[in-house]
Amino acid sequence: MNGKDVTAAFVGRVTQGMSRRKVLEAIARGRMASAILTRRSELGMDRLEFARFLGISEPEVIEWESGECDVTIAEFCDVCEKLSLAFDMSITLEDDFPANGG
Amino acid sequence: MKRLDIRDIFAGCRVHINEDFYRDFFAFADRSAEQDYVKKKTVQLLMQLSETPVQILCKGGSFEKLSDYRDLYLIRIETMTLNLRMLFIAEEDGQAYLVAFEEYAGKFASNYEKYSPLAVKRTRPFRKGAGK
Repeated sequence: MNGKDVTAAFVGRVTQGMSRRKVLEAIARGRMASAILTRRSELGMDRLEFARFLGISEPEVIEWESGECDVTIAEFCDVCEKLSLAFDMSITLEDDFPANGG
Repeated sequence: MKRLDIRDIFAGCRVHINEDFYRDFFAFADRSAEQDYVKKKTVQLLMQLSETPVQILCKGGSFEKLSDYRDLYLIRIETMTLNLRMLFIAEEDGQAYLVAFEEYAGKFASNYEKYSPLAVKRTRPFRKGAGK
């Protein structure tokens, strides 16, 4: 197998047995964590400064940045607003959605 | 809207995995009592490594540059009982090469000295153009 094949096989096997919801959750957590990290980097703040800026604790910043936080929609919107982060809020039906709702 | 296929999400993935890493990872993950968490976290971190510059990721707690070894980084996953380490080489063009997987019971300072030459050796096939 070449490198691309190994990577594709790895992704296939690591997600095997995981529900689609769990895979999408993992990806969402990763993207959220990266967005928060990127924004802190752009603002040139250390974790403590960033925590004060957001009005949360330093351990909470660590949770956000590691994708380990479980936040409410209100908290998520609040952080996005404070960081000037836009996210796509469109919710649409998939073309080939399963008849039983998935 | 087209139903999202998991394979499509990783189609343009900039993370390359070698066979040694693949073997060692699943030798651990398939017998781990915490495999659900480890696999889900791995998907998250692969996605981050593929889409975000490694210099930014290293400002968080999951990624770290090994200061004594050029281009060599690690990903840290801490479970309830184990510390897992995934070593990779990151290149300036954003490509990353996962080359080694290690598990440690408990917490102690790790010695990565042996990984510098090993990582270079394991990355060589990718750099020759295989898989690109």
